Amino acid sequence: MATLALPRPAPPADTALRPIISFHGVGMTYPNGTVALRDVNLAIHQKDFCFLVGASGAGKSTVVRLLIREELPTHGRIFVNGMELSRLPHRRLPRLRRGIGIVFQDFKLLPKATVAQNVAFALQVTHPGQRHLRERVEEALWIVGLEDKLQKFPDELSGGEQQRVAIARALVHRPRIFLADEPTGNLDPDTSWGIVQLLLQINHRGATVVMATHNREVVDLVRRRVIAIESGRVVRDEREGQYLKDGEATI
Amino acid sequence: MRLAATLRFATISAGQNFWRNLAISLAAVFTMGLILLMVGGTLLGTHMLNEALTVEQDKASSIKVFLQNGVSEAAVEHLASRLAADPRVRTVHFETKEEAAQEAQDRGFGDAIEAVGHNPYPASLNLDIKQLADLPAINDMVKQQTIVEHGGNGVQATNYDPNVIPKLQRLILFLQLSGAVLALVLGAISLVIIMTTIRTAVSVRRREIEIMKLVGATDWFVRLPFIIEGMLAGVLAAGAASGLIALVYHPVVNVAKGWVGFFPFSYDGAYLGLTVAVLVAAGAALGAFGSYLGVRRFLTV
Repeated sequence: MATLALPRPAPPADTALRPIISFHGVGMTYPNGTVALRDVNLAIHQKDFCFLVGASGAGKSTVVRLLIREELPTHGRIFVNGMELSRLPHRRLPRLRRGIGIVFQDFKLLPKATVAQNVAFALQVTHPGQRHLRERVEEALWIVGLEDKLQKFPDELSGGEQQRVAIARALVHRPRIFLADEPTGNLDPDTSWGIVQLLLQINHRGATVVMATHNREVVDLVRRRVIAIESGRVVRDEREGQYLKDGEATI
Repeated sequence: MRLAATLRFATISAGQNFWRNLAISLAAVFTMGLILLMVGGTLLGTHMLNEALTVEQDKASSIKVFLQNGVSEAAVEHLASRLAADPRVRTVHFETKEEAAQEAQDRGFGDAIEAVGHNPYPASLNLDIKQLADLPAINDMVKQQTIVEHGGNGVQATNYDPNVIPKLQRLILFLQLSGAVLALVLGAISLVIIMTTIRTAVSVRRREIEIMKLVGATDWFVRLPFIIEGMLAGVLAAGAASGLIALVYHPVVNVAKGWVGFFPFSYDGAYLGLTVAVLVAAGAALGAFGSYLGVRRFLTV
């Protein structure tokens, strides 16, 4: 793995302020009876960078889905950007989601649109008639290092580059919160490292970053906050943690 | 500004989507076009039959009241004015013996006059009745009048044929009923087919809708391009169906005339225009409504 210089860590989060994301006794049971989360309590502050780790099915993706209110918790309360999600009327969902940038393992790009069109799409559908559309798109693509690939189509790009496009699309709203659900799941180690560096840079620019991941090497190398979930419970929450607890056996 | 930009974006992306998924778009246009073609055909066909039947009905709702020979002009005028005052009667026209003979001659029955040696045709009061259903009662009433031919011995009091009217009425009722049933069935089928087709077209773009919702687009913003696209497909389908109907309408009328010569089929340009307008409006409405329903299930993200 390339040893690239890490960006300077963001200044410590101001814990005296109200957290930007908080879970209070959150439980989540899916309609088929699967219990995804049990009594989860969490506080994530502005400019935090944290990893959500745990085995498949532990509940990481449920946390992400709850944060963008794709699902509602069965118990407890969730606050994001000052909004209580259970009480948020459906018509206010766009406001919540415009404050959150999100990327997934499968990139979710439009295959028949160019890189620039993919990024512009996020602004066009939320702020039609945006005056500085072109500048905003170019700025986002410059941040992810794809300023020379504006006219390429997704299938002309590598996996890492496609994920960068997705990140640029998520950035174009200048969100305060950035969620990444297994963003390196489909990428080789070097490319993964590049993506994580990008997320650290985004965090350094002031965004709160939450990254759900399986990527042990990355978590251990970066040494940021680690929230470990097992069978729907938060079993560990460490300020500068590792993928596994000290002394925990690896498979 | 914002609304204009929204409409502009929605229209452009509707056009792009239509073009990018051309096969599915064309399937939707083709299905809607086929249904609109049937709807238009039914509309014009029913109208053509109705028009023809109205002509027949007008003919059937007239009755000739034959008068006895040698009745005074004053008596005729008295009866004519009494009949004209009857609310069921539209017009009364007095036809003299000479006119009746002339008419018979015109119809090729002139030989009868020569054979008999005098004019055998009676003078008559020709009535036009407003409602076909009143005809039997009028017939009975005029038969009571003294100056009217009494009937019997091969002489008729009136030319009323009790068999023709009920038949015609039954035919009209049957045509109107079957037209209504056909329109109802076509309407139901078309809505189901259009919804399914549009739902397929929408499901191809699930990802796009998903992304729109994730980046914070409002429900109406997600819907609008699909609704415009549905309307575009509907209007194109209506255009194609209208073109085809306009093209075959005249030949079909001619063929129908050739088959059933005695039935007065006619070409109605104004009604064709109305049908085209109805089809375009129906196409746009069906497309918009089908898209609205088709997108709805994908908006719950």
